[in-house]
Amino acid sequence: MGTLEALVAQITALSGEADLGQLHGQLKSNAQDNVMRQSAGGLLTAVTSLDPAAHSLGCLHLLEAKARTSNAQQGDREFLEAACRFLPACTPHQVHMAPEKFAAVCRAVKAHCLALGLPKRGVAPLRAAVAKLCPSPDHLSPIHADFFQLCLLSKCYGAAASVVEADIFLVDPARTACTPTDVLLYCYYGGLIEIGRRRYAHALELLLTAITAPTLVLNAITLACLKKFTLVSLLHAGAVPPLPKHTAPLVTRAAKNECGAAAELARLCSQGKSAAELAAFAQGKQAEFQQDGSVGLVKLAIEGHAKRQVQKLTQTYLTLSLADIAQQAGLGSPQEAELAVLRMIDAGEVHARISERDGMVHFLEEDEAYHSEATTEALDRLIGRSVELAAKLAAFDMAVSSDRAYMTKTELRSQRKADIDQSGPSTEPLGP
Amino acid sequence: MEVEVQAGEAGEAPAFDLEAYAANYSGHAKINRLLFAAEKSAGTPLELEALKMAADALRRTENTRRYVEVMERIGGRAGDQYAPDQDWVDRVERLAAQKQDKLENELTVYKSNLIKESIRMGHNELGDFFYSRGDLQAAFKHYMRTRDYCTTGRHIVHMCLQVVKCSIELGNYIHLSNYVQKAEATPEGQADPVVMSKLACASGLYCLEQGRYKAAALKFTEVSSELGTSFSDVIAPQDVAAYGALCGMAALGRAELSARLLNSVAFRELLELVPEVREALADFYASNYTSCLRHLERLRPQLGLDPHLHDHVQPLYQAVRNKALTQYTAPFAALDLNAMAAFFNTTASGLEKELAELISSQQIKARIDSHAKVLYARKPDQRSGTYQQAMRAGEEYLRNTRALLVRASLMQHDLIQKPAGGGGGGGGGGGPDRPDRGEGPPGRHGRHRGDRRGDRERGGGAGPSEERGGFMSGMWGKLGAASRFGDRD
Amino acid sequence: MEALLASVSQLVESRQFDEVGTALDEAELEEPSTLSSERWPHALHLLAHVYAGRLEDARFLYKRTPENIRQGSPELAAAFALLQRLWVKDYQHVWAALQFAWSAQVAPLAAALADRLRSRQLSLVARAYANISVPKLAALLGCSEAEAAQAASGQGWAVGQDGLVEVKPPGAGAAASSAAAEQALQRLTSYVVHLES
Repeated sequence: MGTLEALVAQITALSGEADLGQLHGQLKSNAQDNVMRQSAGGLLTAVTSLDPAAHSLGCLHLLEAKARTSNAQQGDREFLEAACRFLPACTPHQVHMAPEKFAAVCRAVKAHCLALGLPKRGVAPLRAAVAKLCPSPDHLSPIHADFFQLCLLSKCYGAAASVVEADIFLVDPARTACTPTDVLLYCYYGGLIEIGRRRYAHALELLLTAITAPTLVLNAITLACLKKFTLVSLLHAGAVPPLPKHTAPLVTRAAKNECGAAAELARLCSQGKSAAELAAFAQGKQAEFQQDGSVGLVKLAIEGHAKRQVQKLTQTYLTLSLADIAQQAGLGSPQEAELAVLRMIDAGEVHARISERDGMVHFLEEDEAYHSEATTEALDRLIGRSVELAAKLAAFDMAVSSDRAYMTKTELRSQRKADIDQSGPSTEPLGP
Repeated sequence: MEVEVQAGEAGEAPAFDLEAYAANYSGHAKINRLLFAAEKSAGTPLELEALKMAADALRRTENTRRYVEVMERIGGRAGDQYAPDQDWVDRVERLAAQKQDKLENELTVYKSNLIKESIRMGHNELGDFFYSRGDLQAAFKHYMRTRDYCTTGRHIVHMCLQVVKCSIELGNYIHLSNYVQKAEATPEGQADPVVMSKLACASGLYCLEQGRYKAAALKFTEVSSELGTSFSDVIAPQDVAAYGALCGMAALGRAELSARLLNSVAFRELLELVPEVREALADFYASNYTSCLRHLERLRPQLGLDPHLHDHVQPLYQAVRNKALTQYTAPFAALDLNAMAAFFNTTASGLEKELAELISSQQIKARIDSHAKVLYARKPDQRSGTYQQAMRAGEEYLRNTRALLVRASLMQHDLIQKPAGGGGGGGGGGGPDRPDRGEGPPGRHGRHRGDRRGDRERGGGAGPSEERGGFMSGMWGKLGAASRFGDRD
Repeated sequence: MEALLASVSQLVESRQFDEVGTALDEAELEEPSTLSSERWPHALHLLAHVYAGRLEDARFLYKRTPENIRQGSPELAAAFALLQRLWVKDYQHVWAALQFAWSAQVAPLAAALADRLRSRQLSLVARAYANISVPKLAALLGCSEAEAAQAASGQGWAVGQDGLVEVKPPGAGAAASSAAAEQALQRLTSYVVHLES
């Protein structure tokens, strides 16, 4: 014993279904760890000699050992290629035995991609890795955030679609080696991806998850999420909603005090300042927005202002001339107003009909859109999803109420309460 | 007066009778109002007239400083009769200095003898002295000091009223409601309708000053007609009627307007003193808005000279007009803007802007057909409304439930950001870069700040089991709420 | 690469344009450096995303395309110019941007895209206008006035006295796919019954 060849032989021998547990014990042992560390140079060759699907657990340990010894600052092309071949091919139930190792390999893949300046190389393998590691699509893994980061850097936003659109409900550190920071990064990078894909509602949901995540310290990621949340809310809805009550107080405080220019812009918007005034303000805070990487969002938020102005008009007017719209929404000319209204109709942001004959716009009640079969279907879908979620909720409820720690706790509490109830009246007679 | 109204309808507003106006007041109120009127009508004949009357009134007081000021403002424009009388000033000031010495000495003696009632009287007399000299701050101070030496309810009422008077004149309302309440709480005060009326006036002025028109209207309607001229060094009954009516029109609902103003015997008596206001109010209640607004327009110049109302004329008028517009449109399904504009003495496009404001602030539920100049009432479509609500509730439920599940899961596994690597941190890998932009990352590890130490300690103190227990009980409430909501959906 | 190009032209030939973009995306992820190759169908890739309505994906595709390729391919530049017009909803200049001597590989997709855009525009006009002049309709549809008038009459829109086309609002989707809607209604009913009981 004690050579890499022997280890490889052992892996080959023990990769049968029945022997995996034994193999896992072996691989974890200090002795084998030493072997792998001492023969770092041969690890990749060893991996190549194994079948990634049949010997997943072995490959995983070898690759992880290699990841520990290789220099992630410089990047190691050979390791990267080996890992990228391994990830899409590995067998889920084997890698589930060592989630920390698997997450470490994935993180190393990301690190080497970055070091080598090849972020796109890791996109497909990490996307596969997400699916391999997660016990169900509801689970969040530490790989999610790394995958998103590579997508962002390689500008492959579309590649992230299937992963970012899937809702996650569960974190399970024991099975996915997820940490609190992974959760925040998942939300932040996921939010950025959705912003890039102009799916703002979902971006807001992700960012809000980070903002409301339970925390005892103020994290820079949370703060970055807060800033983005403020700006995206402005651009998407024209106003920033109050944070939910269960937000950690220190985060709520940070939203007021540490979001600087973004919060100030939100305040100005709520005061109904004109687009020109907002633009002047943004110009003044250019440096700060630039540092947050938010210049584009700020610009969009301000552009959305005129749009909201037109939307407000639809609440007030039944018909209004294009000239009046141009004047009230701060648009240059009736022609510009016509184009603006046309674009908004196209985007479904306003319901109206333009009459070229007299230059009037007739705003329709959007109500009419509801008298349709599409509505019935949408409602049906909504209920279907609610039922699905309610089932998850019930399952979680079940899990918690049968949780040992919880039961002990409630037991103790009711016991204590009973004690107090009993001793309570007995103290009465002692009084004067 | 009726004749005047008739004449007024032909065109010009009736000339402002300064003498009659000033006759409603006495003491400081008379002088202050005259000077305020002069200030607001600078450059018109009215200014000089007001200044002359103020000077006449001041000659009968000991307020030499004010006298000199007024003389400077007249600046010789009114002939020899209103030349500064330095002899008089010197004489009054000499006497005043002697009087002040005497009063202060007396007070020192009282204080050394520790006789409560004498000390109270001493402070009171000094208060009166400074008040007559126009040194309101000093007067205020002395009146306040009598507080510790009051032995009867009557004393308290007296002290409170003096403090209130000074507060109003100083425009310093910070302590006012305290002292009003204190006086209102005494049986002696409650028994005296005049005292209660004075206190109601003071509260009304306070609310008016703050722009709380509804509260002001209700306070002014508490004033009984027995007030008469007893408070004329602060406010005249005419003012109570005018302030009350204007605030009422601006802020009260129809039922309250009828009960508190039009059908209140006491307030109707007050209203009789100001026929123009009374007419406006009656017209307003009768939905005769054209006439109401015309009456108000004619009142405007006079109200603009009123020191208490001056800053509030514009918002009050706007509010009255808005209410008139709102009430006018209420019963119609469709309304011709041209006809309505004539009724409200404006143009159709001007009216359109006013209505647009009211619609966007949701005071009127209607939409404007700017093309045909017609206002259409907005009939809420219940069916669509229900759909919209259902969809929104459903989406919100989904969103909230998703968020709840994630949070619950995070807590279940104790995935909470903790100080100094407690549960956070995690795997190796260099700090992630801020993507897309290639500058500084939002750090892998929490940014631990000095000023968060409080949080850190709290976090450190709670053991893991503690944390878990707290979470469980907290979550139950949430789960319960969510599933209840789920049932409803 | 050969195999890929063959399968892509297969898709184009069978007019499965919607799948071209995704297929190329996946191929790109398999071989990350392939975007630097001059043989990669860059313009087709970009237009395929545009065709599928994924303007964002098209934009990021252009962003990740190496600079030398962007400079070297006039067809890619033309495709990108079209994307820009669509991105800012510059309805009138979209058509000018579509006027390009597309290569044989791209031409069928470009033609299909033009058709799709035209019918989209027509439905937009139906929603957005009560009446519209023929020249404006022509500009929005990117065709001659005669063709525009023909398209209008094809929709059953009459020309009024003053030469303006009276646009009829889109029909309230009468009786389309009512089977699915009925099923949905059925389910909704059962929910209500469930809640009431």
